[in-house]
Amino acid sequence: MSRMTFAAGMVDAVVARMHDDQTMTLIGSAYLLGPAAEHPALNAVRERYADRVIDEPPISESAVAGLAIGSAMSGCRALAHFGLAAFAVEAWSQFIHEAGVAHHQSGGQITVPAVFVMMHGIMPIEHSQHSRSPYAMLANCPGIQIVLASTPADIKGLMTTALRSDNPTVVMNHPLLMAMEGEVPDGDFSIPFGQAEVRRAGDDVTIVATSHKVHVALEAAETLAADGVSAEVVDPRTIVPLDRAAILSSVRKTGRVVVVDDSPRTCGFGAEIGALVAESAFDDLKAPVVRLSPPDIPIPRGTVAQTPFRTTPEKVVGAVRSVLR
Amino acid sequence: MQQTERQISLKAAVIEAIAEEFRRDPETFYIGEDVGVAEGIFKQTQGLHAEFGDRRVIDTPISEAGMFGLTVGAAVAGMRPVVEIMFSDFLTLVMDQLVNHAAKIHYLSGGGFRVPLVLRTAIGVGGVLGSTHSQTLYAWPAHVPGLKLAAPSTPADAKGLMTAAIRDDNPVLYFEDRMTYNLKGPVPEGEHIVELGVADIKRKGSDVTLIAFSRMVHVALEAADALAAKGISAEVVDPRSIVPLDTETLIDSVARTGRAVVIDGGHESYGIGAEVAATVSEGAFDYLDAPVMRIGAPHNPVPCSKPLEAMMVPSADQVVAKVERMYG
Amino acid sequence: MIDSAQALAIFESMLLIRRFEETVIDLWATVETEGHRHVYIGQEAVGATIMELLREDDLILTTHRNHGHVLARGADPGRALAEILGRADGFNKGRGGSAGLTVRAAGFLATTGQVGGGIGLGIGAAQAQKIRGRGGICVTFFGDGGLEEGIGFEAMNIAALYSQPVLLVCENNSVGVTTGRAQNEWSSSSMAAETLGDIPRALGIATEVVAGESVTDVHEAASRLIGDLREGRAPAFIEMRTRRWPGSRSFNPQLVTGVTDLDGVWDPASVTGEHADWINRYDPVIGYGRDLFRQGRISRSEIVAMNERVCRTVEAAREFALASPLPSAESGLTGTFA
Repeated sequence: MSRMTFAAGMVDAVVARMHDDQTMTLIGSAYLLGPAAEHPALNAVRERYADRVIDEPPISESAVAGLAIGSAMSGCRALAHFGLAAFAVEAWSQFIHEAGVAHHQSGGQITVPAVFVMMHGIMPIEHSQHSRSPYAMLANCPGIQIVLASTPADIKGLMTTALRSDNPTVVMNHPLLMAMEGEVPDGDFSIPFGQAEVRRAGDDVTIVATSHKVHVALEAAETLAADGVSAEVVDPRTIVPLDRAAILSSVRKTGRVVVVDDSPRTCGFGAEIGALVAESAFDDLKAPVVRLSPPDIPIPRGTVAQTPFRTTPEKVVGAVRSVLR
Repeated sequence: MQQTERQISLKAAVIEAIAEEFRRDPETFYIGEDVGVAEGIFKQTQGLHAEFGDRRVIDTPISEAGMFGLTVGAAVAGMRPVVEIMFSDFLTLVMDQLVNHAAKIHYLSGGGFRVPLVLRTAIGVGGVLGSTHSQTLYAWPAHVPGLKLAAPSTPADAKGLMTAAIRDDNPVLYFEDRMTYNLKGPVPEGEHIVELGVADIKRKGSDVTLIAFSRMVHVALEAADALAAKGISAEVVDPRSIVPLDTETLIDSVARTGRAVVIDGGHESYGIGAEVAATVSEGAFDYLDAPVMRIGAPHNPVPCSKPLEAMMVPSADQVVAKVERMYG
Repeated sequence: MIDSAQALAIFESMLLIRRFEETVIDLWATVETEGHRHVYIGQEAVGATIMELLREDDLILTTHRNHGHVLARGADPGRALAEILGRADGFNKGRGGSAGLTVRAAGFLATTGQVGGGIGLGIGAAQAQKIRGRGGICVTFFGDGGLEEGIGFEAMNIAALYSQPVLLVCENNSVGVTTGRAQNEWSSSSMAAETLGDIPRALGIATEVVAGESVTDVHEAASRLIGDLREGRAPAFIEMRTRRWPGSRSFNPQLVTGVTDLDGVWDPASVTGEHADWINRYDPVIGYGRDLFRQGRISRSEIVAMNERVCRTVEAAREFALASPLPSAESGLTGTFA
């Protein structure tokens, strides 16, 4: 085990795969860590494999996606970092119409071992056109795996799996996670997709949370524990494939559910979980499923204006209380 | 509103709404690929170019992002454009202009600008057009705050919703299932408005609520007939617009019947069906006798093959089977 | 000059494409089949010649108008036709159809129905070839419409910035088309640039503008540029200008020029009728046949024998495709992920 940041955990996985897979291309490496951070191993990879690294591609998201997907279809794995998810929407056609359908439409002749990385969520201070968590849109279309990691260890393990997978994978990271520290297993470490993690066990209510909101949920669970409410926090880690069994098994125990994530409410992650639980755990539900998401309004610029859009532990506690009534 | 027995097709009803609004308001124009002299690949702009000419019915290159950007700019400048994106699949190509511009300009300008445009696009599986010309991608814009969405199922609703959409001061995405284009029904002559956000009960019933969008309304009506023969009285509710969603009517219906199935032509996972099922399950929680169920397209691309694509469209049989399961 | 063996191989490949596409059109008239299809008639010289210049490890991206490329690369016509008809024995198990037909074993990556989409994928395939470093290249075919989408510009810029070994082949089949929309044909050449090759030139990409119905011209330009690519002078662009075949229709191509009559090769006077001008001036099959015949590189009896051979191949493909079952409905519900 080593202590490192979330960003370093991710880069650890990327660096290891760049060494092990001599066909892999790394595109947009300048965005992996953010401007301030330094990572000697990544710098070494940039120098040693200069032919396979495109540090800062042109501002051409759809062609950058094509570059990664075409390379992957040819048998050379690729990772492309798009900076922000709000920009990656420019590449959606390549994601769903090329990467997502290729394996199925070719009758299995083509695989697309490509990984697309981007930041999601409210960008502190930034402009509205930079703040988006559009993962539920991609989840609505078949063929793309979606990773929402919440800890340094998980991002290393999930990124390693993504970089070994034969399927296209989108990895969305929240900016507030990047500097978060934690213990990360050394050496080769992978986490299978479709396996949720129970971050905290509890009996009274299930909080399904993703990405940065896992930590908000855990903080809320602490507060609730002090009041005698035992909350279970379930982190799906990948939303495609989704570990439905783990979520339903928790709900069967607690009978109450709050979903906390960063996607807008309408047709968001919470809608899928709400519909799933309402259909498949109907007899165990003691209260309606409550979805806690940012309001269906564009996210404004500036920390003050953004306050109503931030899901805080207090809001989670309030939502839990509402399902306990 | 003047009632009439006149029967016209859904496609003709949409064109009629556009033509009437274009006559009323000279600050309107239509833009898209092959929409002019060719009158659209499904003849869905028939007569518009002949009446309104090159200046107001404009052909473009295969450049969706460019033409949609043009539309947003014209709307901000005060026009009321209708832009046609041939298939909803191609919304993927206008994402930045749609998500980061059209949807946000009004809000971010503090109300200073309005974006009164209509984006008209085709949805639905049929005719073997393959994975990139058959999707029903309305869950995507539904997920973007600032956009309104309409999806008519009948010719009369098609006319009324298009009229409302053109007069709306916000960007409205208007989804037509291309397999309903030739569906005929009574359509009022002259001005006919169906307000966005008002659901319509297409069939009254008391045992189960079938909530369906666009072409799926007809699947639901077929299922309701079959259920009636089995002694089950199904109510069919057509939300007509997806955003805003008439949650009150939906929840009210489900509270009366105690059971609901949501039928959606888009992919089931993370789709419109999930949104409606979650909303109804929450809002009618205390009245539900059975879990709210969803039927949507399976989680695979639409194959370019007649027998394979048939599996991508929810059927009345599936609806009946789900309802029967509730009575297990 | 193209050596005779290669010249005859190109001509036979062109004839195979022509007979195959005639069969596709006939099947749509005689067998109930839905969906759109785009045939390669009039553009045979481009696909047949370029494929002849490629190596086994080269990679190819193509479009909805792919039949000619796939056949010229040597893929089994029976399985190709089965795919076009959506049958279980098609290369894509019947899921791709005409517009999505792809043959990975022949070097084709996913065939896309999205206009311009393959230009983006092509630079990715070129990136893969660069990494492998064995001199392999990527050829990406697209129509004039492909350049109307933004990704076309983005991809050319990236290819030029990173010197990627990609041959961008723009099959401009809109030359001289003025009546497209009136015939309910797709809109054509909605580009402000008169010469599409001027666009890549502005990015510093080596570019040739070629008469696409001439095997000799295509061969001369393509062999030189492909040689440059293999030696690291990359990327390259060819605008292949071809005259639109008069039977081209967006949803329903019609054999208005008739089944190609090879008598026109040795007896130009036999070409008559409304479309005689297109056949005499722009039909690449007749045109190249005349070249080879005049040069004495092929005799009339050899052409007749070649035609019989090709027709037998296509007839066998037709029988194979029609005998192949439609896939079971459930089979389409698997295989989203590898």
